[in-house]
This record gives sequence, structure tokens and C-alpha cells, in this order.
Amino acid sequence: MTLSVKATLARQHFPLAVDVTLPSTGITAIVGASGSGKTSLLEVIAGLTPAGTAEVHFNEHLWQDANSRMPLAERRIGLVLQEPSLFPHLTVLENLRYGWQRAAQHYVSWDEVINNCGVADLLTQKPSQLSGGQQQRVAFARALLAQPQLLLLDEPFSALDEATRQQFVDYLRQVATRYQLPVLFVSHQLSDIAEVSDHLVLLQRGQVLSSGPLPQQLRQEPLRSLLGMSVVSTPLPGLNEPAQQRLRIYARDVSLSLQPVPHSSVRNQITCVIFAVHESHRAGERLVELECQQQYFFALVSDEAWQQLALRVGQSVVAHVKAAALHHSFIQPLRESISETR
Amino acid sequence: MLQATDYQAIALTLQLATVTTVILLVLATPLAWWLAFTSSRWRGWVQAIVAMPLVLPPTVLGFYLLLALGPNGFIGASLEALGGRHLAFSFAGIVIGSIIYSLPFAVQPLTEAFRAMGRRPLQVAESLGASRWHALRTIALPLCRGGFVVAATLVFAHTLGEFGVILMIGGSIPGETQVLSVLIYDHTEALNYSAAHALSLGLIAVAVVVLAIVYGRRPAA
Repeated sequence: MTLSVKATLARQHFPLAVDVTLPSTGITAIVGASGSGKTSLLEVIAGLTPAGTAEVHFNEHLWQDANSRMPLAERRIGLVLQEPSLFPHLTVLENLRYGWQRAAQHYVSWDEVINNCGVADLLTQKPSQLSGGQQQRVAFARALLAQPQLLLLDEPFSALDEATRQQFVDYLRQVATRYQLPVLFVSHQLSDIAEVSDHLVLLQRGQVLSSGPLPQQLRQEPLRSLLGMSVVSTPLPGLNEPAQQRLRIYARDVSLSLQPVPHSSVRNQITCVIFAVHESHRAGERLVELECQQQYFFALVSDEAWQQLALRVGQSVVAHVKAAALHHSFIQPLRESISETR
Repeated sequence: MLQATDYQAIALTLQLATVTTVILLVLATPLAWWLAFTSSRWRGWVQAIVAMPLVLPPTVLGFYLLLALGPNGFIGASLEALGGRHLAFSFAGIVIGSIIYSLPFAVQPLTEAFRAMGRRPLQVAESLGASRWHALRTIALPLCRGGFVVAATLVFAHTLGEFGVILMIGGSIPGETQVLSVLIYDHTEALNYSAAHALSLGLIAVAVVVLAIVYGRRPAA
């Protein structure tokens, strides 16, 4: 089950030249600096670019090649674009019904979407009466109600406040799992990506720099030294978290000791092995990669501490992670952090 | 004060303006759509040709149309060969002249409206399962309604005021080609100033009302 995209497309600054195969299950995040071609890639998949510029296969179906192009209406794509795209002459209800009434089968229920997206009170309003965040919620609900077989989201939650955004990220995860609905997701919001995506595609200047499962991508450059972040699923021995939860751990929140520390305020003490050591983007510090039950995370350790504790690769250590750090939502636009490396 | 020929000219003028408006909207819509969205290198040339009636003297247009539509012209002769009648000095002839003369007044507001709307609303409609045709009808048409209203009123008003092209192609045949503007000219030539006044003031009033409709429209919410 894959979505394969081959495209060569002239654009303003540099051409989009991609040849990538993505899983057509789960949530795939597309990240990169602005202008790197994220939106263009979504447009290629949606079939909004001229025929003959791309070859797109979705599972066993040919969507587009040099000679043919399946009409957008037949691709059953839920499209949520960056700019507001509600039909201004229709009410919210009419907007929502536009796709709903054309769907052959309804596997996503009306009530569920209306309630989860919080649009029940907006139905009689016109789009011009809504705030940017409300418009995004309606657009997302409209895309889901059209019963898509693939969701393409371009910064879908950029105008939402932090609490609502968190709800939507959770809901997106639920929807993707419950309906086996593949999602392609463009976002600058690092916290969103870490929280929802299973797969990550990194674009740079119109080309795919790397593509792979999220935990693996976070272990590789350039994301490794940029973000110093990892995603683990509990349970890990010593990690006091409910089972089957994804946790992001930032390297700067992890410290190391040679032995478990009793009477410490740090509750999470994970016994692990030093798997590798990498350069950090900060002088005087290094990024220590730790392994525990085939899950990997980082600790940011000063060169001084590294030498004092006589740490080396292969050594067994205890990683301390503050419980507060596990829940803390860290907001940092990826765009800025990536452009810093130029 | 007004004679039967005056009423006949009023009716003929309204008929000409209505027919021209209807035909022109049908023809101008696809052309404007193409101009709004094409990336063809011919776009500039086509736009220039569409705008020609704005700068050419109506007599120039009328002169060449008369040649083409007349019994020896390319179109007129073809029609005669098919057993028809050439189009010079006929109502059909002045309709063709009016369509060409008012073409930019239909194409330009429509092109602007289509460009302002952009492709996005239609793409979104199609992603929601609407066919191209259905998306045009339910999304593009209502969103561009302002453009259609402006195009229709401008063409209608512009056709009411047409003179040079009609005089060249149609002459002044009562009930066939003698529209108001031509009749006013005839009245003036005949020193029948009171009739010329009555018709002229009527035209001024209609023009003010029509233009007030166009420019008084609120921008769509």
C-alpha cells in the first residue's frame, strides 16, 4: 500500500524534482523550509498541476502519468489548504453538505465530525463571519465529511489557538487510525509533527532530502542535531507513563548518571546503553544517543561531564527524564530552525 | 410628439441591445475564461484583438464588416451561394456589428471576475466530488455574478449608444436598422430638433440609470 510520486515541475525559485514512495497508511509529515516545495508536492498529488509533469500512483491505481490524469473529483482526496477555501456564498452547513451529499458511501459519520470539530454552533453562519481558526475547523470538517480515501493537509491548524490545536491533532490521529485513512500533512509546527506523524519527508530546494519512519528520521542528520528530539513509545522500564503512548523527549531534558539515583525528584530513571555519540550544534556539548529495548533517544551532555564520568559507547548508564519534560509542549517553528543551517 | 417611426426605433434599439447582450455573454464567457487562466503565449495577442474596438473608429470596423457581410464579401457571398441573403443593411448584420463592437465590454469584466476568483474554489469543489460542470454552475457562476451583471449592463448600454458601426453596415432602414442613435442623427439633419431632444434626453436618462446600476453595486460579501 503506497503512494508513489514522480514529478518534475518548474517553479519560481528552483524546480520541484521528486521521486518518492510514501506509505499509504498512517500519517506522513512533509517538512522543509518555506519555498522548499511542500505545497507543490501536495498539489502534484492532488492533481492540480498540469498533466505530463508528474506520475502518481495511489495503491494499485494510476492517478496520473504523461498521457492521462484522473479527474480530481474521482480521486476522493480531502483537501485542506493553507489559505481559507470555504465557498463564501454558502453557509457553513451548505459548505459541509457540498461534499457529504456527493459521497457514495458514508463511513465517517456526520455527527461525529460536527461534534469533534466544534462546528455545531456555526452552521447558519457565512464564512465571512468566522474567525480564521473557525474557518480552518470548518474546512477540515468539510474535507472529512466528503468521505475521502486520502487526506492532504497544508498547514491545516495554523490559525488555531494552542488548546484547540492540541484537540485537532488528537482527533486527526484518531481519525487516521479508526478509518485507516492515510494523511499527508504539511506543517511548520514541530510539536504537531512529533505528535502525530508516523513517517517524515524532508524537502529541501524542491528535492527530497530524506524520507522514512519518524523515529528513524529523528536519529539522522539534519534533524538530529537541529532538533535533538526523539519519539519513543512507552512502556520502557523505568518510565512512569501509561502504556501505548507516544512521548517526545528532548535531549536537553535528559541527564545521565552511572548508577540509579535514589531520593531524586526525577521519577523517570531509565537504564540504557550508550549507542553512539554525535556532535551537537552547540559548542562544548555532545549529543549522546541512548538505546533501551530497541528504542532510541538522546541526552545532551557537556564535554566536561562526558570526560568526568569517563563515558564511552557501549557503556550502561541511567537516563533521567523529568516527568514534566515529557508532557511539555515545545513550540518551535521548524522553518526557522532549518533555515539556520544554511 | 413622438411619431410611429420613433417608437419603432425605440423597440428596435431595445431588441438589438437585448439580442447582442445575450449572444455576447454566451460567446464572451469561454473566451474570458481562457484569457483569465491560460498560460499560452497567444494570450497577449488575443487580448489585444479583443480590445481593438476600444481604440478603432467605429467607421473602420463598420467599413470592413460592410465589405465582409455584403453581397461580394467573404461572408455575404458564402451565404448567397448557400441560397441565403447577404447581411449588409439587415438586422442580423447590425447584430454582428454590435457583438464585435461591444466585445471588450463583455470580455474584460468577466476576465477580471474569473481572475479574482482564481482556480482554487473550483479545485476545492472538484476535490469534494463535484464534476467540472457542476462546480462551474454551483461555485463559479455565483461567485462571479458581479462580473456577469457588469458585463451585461455595459454591453446593453454600449449597444444603445452605438452609431458609427450601425450606420456603416445597416444604414437607416426603419424597422430593420434604424436604431435610436441613427434616428436622432436623421432628425437633426432634418432640423427636427424637438424629436431629437426627446429621444436624446430619453437615452441620457437610460444611460444614467444603467451606469448607476453598474457602479452602485456593493462589492460581494
